[in-house]
Amino acid sequence: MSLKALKLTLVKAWPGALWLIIVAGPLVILRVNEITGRVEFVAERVVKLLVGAFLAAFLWGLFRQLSGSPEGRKGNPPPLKRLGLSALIGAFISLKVNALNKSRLFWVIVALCLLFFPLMTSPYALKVATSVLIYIALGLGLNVIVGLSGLLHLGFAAFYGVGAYAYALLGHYLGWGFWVCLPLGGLAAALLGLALGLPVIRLTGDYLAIVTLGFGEIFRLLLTNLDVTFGPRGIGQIAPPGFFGLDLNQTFKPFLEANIGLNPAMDLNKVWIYLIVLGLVALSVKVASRLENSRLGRAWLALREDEIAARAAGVNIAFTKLTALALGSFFAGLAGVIFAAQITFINPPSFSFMESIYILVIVVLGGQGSIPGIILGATIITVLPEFLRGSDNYRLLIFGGLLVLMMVFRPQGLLKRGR
Amino acid sequence: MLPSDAPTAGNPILSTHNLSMRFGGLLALSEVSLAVKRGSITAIIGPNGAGKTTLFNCLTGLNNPTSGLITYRPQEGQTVNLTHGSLDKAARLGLARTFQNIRLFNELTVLENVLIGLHSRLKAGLWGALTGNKKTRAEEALALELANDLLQKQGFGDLTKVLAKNLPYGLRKRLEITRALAAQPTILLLDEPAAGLNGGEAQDLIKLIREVKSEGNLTIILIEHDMSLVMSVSDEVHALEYGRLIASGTPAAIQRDERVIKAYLGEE
Ligand SMILES: Nc1ncnc2c1ncn2[C@@H]1O[C@H](COP(=O)(O)OP(=O)(O)OP(=O)(O)O)[C@@H](O)[C@H]1O
Ligand SMILES: [Mg+2]
Repeated sequence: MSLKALKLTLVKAWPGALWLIIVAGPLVILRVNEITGRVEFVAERVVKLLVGAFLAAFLWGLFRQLSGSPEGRKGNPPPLKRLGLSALIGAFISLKVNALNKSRLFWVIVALCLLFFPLMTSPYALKVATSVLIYIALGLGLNVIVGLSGLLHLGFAAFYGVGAYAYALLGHYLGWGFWVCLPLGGLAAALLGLALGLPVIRLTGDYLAIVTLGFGEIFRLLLTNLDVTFGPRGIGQIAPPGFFGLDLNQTFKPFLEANIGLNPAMDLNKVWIYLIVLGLVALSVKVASRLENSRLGRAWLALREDEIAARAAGVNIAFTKLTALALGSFFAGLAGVIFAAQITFINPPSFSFMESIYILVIVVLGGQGSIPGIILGATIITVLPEFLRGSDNYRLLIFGGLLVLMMVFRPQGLLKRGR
Repeated sequence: MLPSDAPTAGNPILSTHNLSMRFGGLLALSEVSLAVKRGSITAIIGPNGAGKTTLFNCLTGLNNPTSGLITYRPQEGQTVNLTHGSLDKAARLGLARTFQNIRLFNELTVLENVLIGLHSRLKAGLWGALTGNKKTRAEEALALELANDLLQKQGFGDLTKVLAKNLPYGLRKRLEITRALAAQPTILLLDEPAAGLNGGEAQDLIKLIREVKSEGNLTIILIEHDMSLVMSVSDEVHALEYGRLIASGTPAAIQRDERVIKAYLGEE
């Protein structure tokens, strides 16, 4: 980005700031006195409002520039977009922003940004974002097994593959749709997790790692050599998720393009997948954080820390291990179904040992057991290679080096599990 | 081969009959028959390698004896055969223990350690954990309250969020006992609770043992090398040597027992 463009962005931020001040200003500088019921003017907040509005407008412009949205090029904002945003902020005001506490507000803003992200970006950025989200779901799943329960699992990609192939095959042979296959893919992966778990309950540490590694490889070899799975050729033309039987591109695209400034190259099916996986990740984060502070979650942690002490506290090891394996695999199955829908073509190499390692790196890099760590880890692991394009051969080397450095300097991960 | 003065009368809470434990060529326990009175503080003494920890391991299901019988009577009129039990099952039946080489959940906080100690008293399963329903939330809140209360009482004050591994030795030992107490056990088994403690800490330990015993109707079995501690807290003492029970009786009687003096006290 050139200096000139930066200057332009600075100048262009003024009208935006003014608009923000008009819309949001009253909310900031006026306060309802709850005792007297009268509206009061809060002078201290004026400076905050000015600075905040300008910064927000500037960052917004900067973001526009960087994400290369059509508006940045045309410079002529579609009227509906303005209107939409105003309505949004209006709705926000009626939500009584003041009543929301700060962290709540933060999350609302993050959620809104994530929700509207597809409208402001390119198909390529959307694809990367969707990948990040899929890897977050995978990381959260493996985190239950490796991070929380301390079971070293080196064949996790197989469970991801089960979900993906479940959707692809059920769709191909039976014509089943995404929404039926999503829970089925998760369940199939969970059942396979149990099937793997039963014989290995007694194994720990290295032995478990070897068995899971072998399991993952067997799965990949089966996919490659079976006829039902179309062997190494893989399966293509996987259907996108349905939306009340509508063709998204035909129904909504012209409108969104004309009025909201949607990138014309954008495929709305991909937007829909992004939103689905976003919802899934939000749900997963919620469930995962709930699990961590539950009786079961603590049993997992106890198992990881000291199996004998855990048993002495009454923890049933078999049940604890099996729930961890089944639940972690369930996450992977869901992620697999979505992955298949996103890339529309899958083949065995997508679920190789290396894939298992990538997911493991996410968990280890982020900080075992830490949910924010996993989000960060998934982002790094997915976005970093995009910058290293062309040097694909070095990718593994870089990840390997990264892991070694992590183990030496920050074995607890980038973001430690908070309590 | 019941020792003549073993307290078989009075419906013991826990008893072993001809308990033997063999590790390869080594007979770690040999035909041990003893009984633990309900509500008593019972000490197990004996020189290093006598089989004291092995006895604990058999009682709590960590090891299964080669032969013999373990009978547990949680309440009057209720009999459970513990001979082929397992550690977690014993825990759920009310036997909580500590370990000779402290086993804490090191990377977890003091509070989390105690919450895990509460495990067998809580009910929430997978479904509750996933949905976070009302019942589960209420149980979780109660668990937190119980754990915090217990920790306050045991003097962990503002240390509840500290990682267990960062506690000094004395507090680590105390935390392990606190974790065991969280389960509200029927029998508390302490494997060398005073080992490595300084004078003051040992005094605190004695106080703790007396307190928890008088508060709950708790039975305590402890392995101890510190004779003054054994003599001051226990009602009954069993002495082991080379896996065999060589004497049982009151602390005063044991102190006078010639075989014990020869085998154990005489060594010092
Ligand atoms: N799992 C095991 N496998 C093999 N041998 C064992 C095992 N556990 C204990 N032993 C052996 O059994 C004997 C009794 O050990 P135990 O730990 O019960 O002694 P102890 O009375 O607790 O001694 P200390 O005072 O040193 O703790 C020892 O010789 C020990 O080496
Ligand atoms: Mg011992």
